[in-house]
Amino acid sequence: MANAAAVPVEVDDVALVERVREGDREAFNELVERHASKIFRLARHITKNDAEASDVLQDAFLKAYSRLDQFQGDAKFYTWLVRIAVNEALMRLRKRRGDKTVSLDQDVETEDGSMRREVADEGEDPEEAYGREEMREILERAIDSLSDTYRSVFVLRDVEGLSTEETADMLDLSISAVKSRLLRARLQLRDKLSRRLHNDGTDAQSYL
Amino acid sequence: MGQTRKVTCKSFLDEMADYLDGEIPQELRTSLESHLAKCPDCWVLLDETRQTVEIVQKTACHPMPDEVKNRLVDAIHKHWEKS
Repeated sequence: MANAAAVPVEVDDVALVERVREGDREAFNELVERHASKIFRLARHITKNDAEASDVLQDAFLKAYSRLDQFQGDAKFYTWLVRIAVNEALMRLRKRRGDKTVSLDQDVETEDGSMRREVADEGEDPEEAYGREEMREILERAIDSLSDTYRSVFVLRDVEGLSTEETADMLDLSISAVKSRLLRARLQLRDKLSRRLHNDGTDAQSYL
Repeated sequence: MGQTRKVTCKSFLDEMADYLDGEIPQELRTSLESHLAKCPDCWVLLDETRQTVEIVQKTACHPMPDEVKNRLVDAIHKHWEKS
């Protein structure tokens, strides 16, 4: 028999939360094991910054732990955690926007909404052969280059797989705003990826 | 009675996100597919967008560095020590 602290995979999140509430810290460690990497990815996508993503990850888990009493068992724990992390990440993004200094990462406001400040390396093509690692880097850069407005919607819907309703709720947007932003994000990303891949004679199908 | 609505490239674009997500009534789906059968531009756009979403879903972006994980675990343990 495995030792008593080990948590079998089949134990669902809600049962783990219940155990944490009863004082079982090992159960919280298991929740961290299950979800930390996804929360880091989400935070990194939204903040576009490794250090801030690490801070968001910490804050999200610590807040989740402190507020576990507020978690309603009828929702998914992961969705609840995502909500906390999204709020933390957006707060940091807003704070950064409020800074006086203009960074190259910041969006330019135009009458059609915000768009990304063009930077010199946008069309840069890596010379080495592309493998999965390179594809990942291309994709990360392409997602980073979406405006904040589109990126948050895109990440919640297409990376995290949340529903339109959940995304609208988390970002305080209407359903139609989520749909239109998702469409624009997908089209922009398609355009960015196809430009990069076609320029290098790379077949997108080979990554599927 | 299986009536199909006239779909233009513009209206196809408006519905494309829902079409890709399968969140669309059957009647509208039939109309969109009949437009796709006649419009190679929309078909290519749809196909490339679908591929883009698939690539995103299959690619594990931003793997969490070990030091980030360690920092998180340390922070949680410190929090427990204080409480």
